[in-house]
Amino acid sequence: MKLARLLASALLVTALADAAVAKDTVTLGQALEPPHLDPTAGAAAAIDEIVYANVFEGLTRIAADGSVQPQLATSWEVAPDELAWTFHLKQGVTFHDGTSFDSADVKFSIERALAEDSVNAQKGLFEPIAAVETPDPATVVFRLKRPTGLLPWNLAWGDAVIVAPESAETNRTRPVGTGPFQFTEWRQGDRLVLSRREGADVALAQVTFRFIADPAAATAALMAEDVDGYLNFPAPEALPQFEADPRFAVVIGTTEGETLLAINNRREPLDDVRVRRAIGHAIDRQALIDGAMMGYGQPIGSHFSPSHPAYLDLTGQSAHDPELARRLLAEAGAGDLKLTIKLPPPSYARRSGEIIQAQLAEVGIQAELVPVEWAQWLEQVFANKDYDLTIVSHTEQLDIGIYARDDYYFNYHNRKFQALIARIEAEADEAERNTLYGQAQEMLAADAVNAFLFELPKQGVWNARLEGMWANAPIQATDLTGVRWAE
Amino acid sequence: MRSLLRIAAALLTIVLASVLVFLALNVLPGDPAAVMLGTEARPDTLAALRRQMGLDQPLPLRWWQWLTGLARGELGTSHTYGVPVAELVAARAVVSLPLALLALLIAVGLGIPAGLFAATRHRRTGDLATMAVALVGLSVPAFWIGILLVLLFAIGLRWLPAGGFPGWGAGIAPGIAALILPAIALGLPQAAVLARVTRTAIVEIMRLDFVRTARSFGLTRTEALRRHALPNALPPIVTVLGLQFSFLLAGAVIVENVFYLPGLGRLVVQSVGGRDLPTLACLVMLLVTAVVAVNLAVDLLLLRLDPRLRHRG
Amino acid sequence: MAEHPDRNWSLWLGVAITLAIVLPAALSLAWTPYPPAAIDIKARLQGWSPAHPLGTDPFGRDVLSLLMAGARNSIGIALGAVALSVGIGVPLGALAAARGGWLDDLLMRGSDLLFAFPAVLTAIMLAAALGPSMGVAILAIGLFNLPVFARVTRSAAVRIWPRAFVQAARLSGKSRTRITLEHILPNILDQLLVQVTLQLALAILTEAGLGYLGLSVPPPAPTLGRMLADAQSFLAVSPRLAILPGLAIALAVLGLNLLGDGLRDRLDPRLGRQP
Repeated sequence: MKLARLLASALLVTALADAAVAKDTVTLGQALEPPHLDPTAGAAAAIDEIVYANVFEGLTRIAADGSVQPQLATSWEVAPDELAWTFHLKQGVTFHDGTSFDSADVKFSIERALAEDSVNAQKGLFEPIAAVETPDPATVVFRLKRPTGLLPWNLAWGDAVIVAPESAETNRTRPVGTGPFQFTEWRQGDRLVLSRREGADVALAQVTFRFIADPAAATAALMAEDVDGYLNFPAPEALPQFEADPRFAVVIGTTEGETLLAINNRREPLDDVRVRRAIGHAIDRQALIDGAMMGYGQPIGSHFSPSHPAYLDLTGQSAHDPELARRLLAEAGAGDLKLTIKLPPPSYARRSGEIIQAQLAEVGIQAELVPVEWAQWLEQVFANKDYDLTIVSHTEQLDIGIYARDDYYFNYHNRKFQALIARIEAEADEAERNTLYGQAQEMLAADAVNAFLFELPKQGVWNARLEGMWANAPIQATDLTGVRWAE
Repeated sequence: MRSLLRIAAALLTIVLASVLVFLALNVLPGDPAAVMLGTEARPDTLAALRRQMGLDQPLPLRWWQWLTGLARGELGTSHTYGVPVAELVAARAVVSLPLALLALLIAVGLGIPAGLFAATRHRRTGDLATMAVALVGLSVPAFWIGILLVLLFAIGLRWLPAGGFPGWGAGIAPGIAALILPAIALGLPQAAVLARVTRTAIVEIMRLDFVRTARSFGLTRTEALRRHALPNALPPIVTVLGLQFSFLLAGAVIVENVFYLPGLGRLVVQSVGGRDLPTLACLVMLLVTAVVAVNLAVDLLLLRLDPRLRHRG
Repeated sequence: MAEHPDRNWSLWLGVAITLAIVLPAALSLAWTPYPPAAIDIKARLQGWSPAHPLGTDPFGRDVLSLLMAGARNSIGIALGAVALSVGIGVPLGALAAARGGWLDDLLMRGSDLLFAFPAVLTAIMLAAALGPSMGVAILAIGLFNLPVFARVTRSAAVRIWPRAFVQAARLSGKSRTRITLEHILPNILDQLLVQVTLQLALAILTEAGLGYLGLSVPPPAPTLGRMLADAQSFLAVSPRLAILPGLAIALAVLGLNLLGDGLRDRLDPRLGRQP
């Protein structure tokens, strides 16, 4: 009898203890698995989507609202000649392996990214830097080749996070950073686990990323509550089903992904601006967004994110007008046009391709669809520029500068545009910079460099009790530092 | 002697397959280094990475290195994950092998009894019903069964996980639970095939003279079945089982995608997309070797089961 | 064979079901209610209606037209693959049986080698090298099925060769090729026909699998496999989109299997209809 009561009270205590401890683990689905975990040695967005702000930190960071905020640097100032920037570093920070963080780590990280044999995918971000000086452990001075107003923003990229010389080589499989979460386990092909670092000021004790790309499998995983949410759900067609289910919150936000029907500007007759404009007028963006994206996504008329303050709505310049498109084609003497559209694997590209093919057919352009894998897309389209048209989303933040690159796959060569971009990069004043961004958008729209389709939406679906998930994606990251379960 | 010949032929097949595999993989278009660095890579960065990955060396040299490496048991390093291929494949095999075994268990455990049942009810309702079910099972794509199972058991009833694999570290039970639905999807069509083959084999033998004679001497139907029919029906059943193995592997590629299991099949699809040549080469060789080995095992087993074969040319 | 057609229900049911799929598919060569690739976004995801008897898909395409054209492409791929494997496998098998000896061994080892590469594996590698296309699907399925026909032909032919009438023909001085054409093949045709129907059924299933993995015909040409794969993420919104192509695949395969069973029963009546 006594024993039974003892047992009963023990059970009661355990039950109470269970109830008192709020849930502090979360399992998130992610469509793509990263190839490795070193954001300074690969372009895969999936790397940043796991480690950015969670495991690795940079001198600066991009916040949820898209602004640049201090991270490992507490403050910074620029010299009057704009050729030297001084960053003051946070003190007392250590890496996960216990080694301390100071200016030498910053110097090491930047010089590693700049080195001859660097495999940093965004080497261009650091290109203006001539030298890194470390007057003391808490101060770093960047000497620049030319004024670069965007430097704090450049340093906020995942490719610019600070790594330690002791662990840089092994970050691919065992990432060691200064962030609040440390790497625990990676079961390739299935899941990756991060856990809270001792003393870190975050609510979650453990985060598991599950890699589920297949839309049907992802839907099933959410419905069965195998995962608590997707920061960006891979299938827009499943969203109505989650919206109707009170267990879930569906939050449609913005990304930095400009989806283009990219045009090879050098290939005849696409080198004729009238033909490119005709392609733009042939496309019914709203029908495209309804059909390929189930109505989610915002039409764009140039290469710029609608969530940026400098955005101009230029969709009117390439409004749907099949009649005008046919006239332009006739004027250019390209009446009987046969083109190919190379389609990379994502469903937005494959679906858009089928719809655009039908829309082009209405103005007399015969388009053949060629589905390719990323490997082939990178080689044929991106590297060898062997394509007529292709559909792809450019997901890097604020990447209008790619049109200024001579060797870029659009084959768009415009000296005036290049000069404009150079002025933007040097400009330190934000208002002035935004004016210049406006001019750049107008120039691309006028030249009809590409057919600008829509901004990819961020299709967030997560458990309704989960708080602090980012609604928008100003940077491709899953910043979990502010995420918690509601009581 | 006959077995030795079979073994030698199997080995030869594997060696020939290895040549095919290497040639096939190295004409695949797409640069693995470009895949890793993506759209923002600069030419010098790309060249640095290609050097680091050894891709700048001539093809014959790479082939020689691969071959000698294979012989030494060094399978190389995965381009995608940067970990040894052996490690990667081993981690996936502990999902795929139990899945295949479980599916086989379902196929045999369901198919053979169903076939026996149908054979004993030959031309009666039980037979017709069983065979009708088997025909339908044979005609529905495995991944379609998988989708329906997920809808019912994972989303509807929430008895079993919709997919994924928690790892054997989490315990045997959760591991098995994760494999049950995919194993059913994979095993059911095979069970249907086995049921048909078993029924046919038994029916054929039961009407052979020696069985009839035995029965006329007073052997019951069940005894005749157990003593004569079953042992003699084994060779065709084993043959079909061996043939089915290859379909099991192929089916696994698709079913692992339906249930997002981190198995070998999904790794094949992944490593093609990512141009992870060392991993892909190892996987294809592994799968081909498995098919050859199973067929060899079946051949050898048949020689034991059916002594007549030993003397036939 | 004194066979009453009405007793061989499996054969006739098989014929009926197969025709139910094959006739609309064949009709799609000449006519479909709408062009299968005609997109009408405004009419997307509609249910049954007189205008669209089976509704529309997410692009507003007519599902009935898609099914007809999809069945035609899937059956076309299956036919192509089986033609390939019959066209190469049967002569090789007949040759192996006619010659015997080292050539027989060599051919059978070669067919073992081919058989060691599952169709899905071959298709994945071929599609990676050449891009997914109808040809790749046909080649992958055909190459994998080739050894089946080589083996069936060989083992059936080997049993005919020792027969008296063949030996008599041999003594009369006919060449092995002539004997194969005049005496061997006609006598194993029935068995090959059974195998053709069964392998066709299997090829349609394999194509569905390849379509599911995106390795079959690229869009806009529909196939049943890809329709099923595309519809999978719309299960909650519009289950009809997944049920219909799944049903079409199952019916086509079922019909062919019944047909094969029926043919086999005709050949070997003992199996089907003894008390």
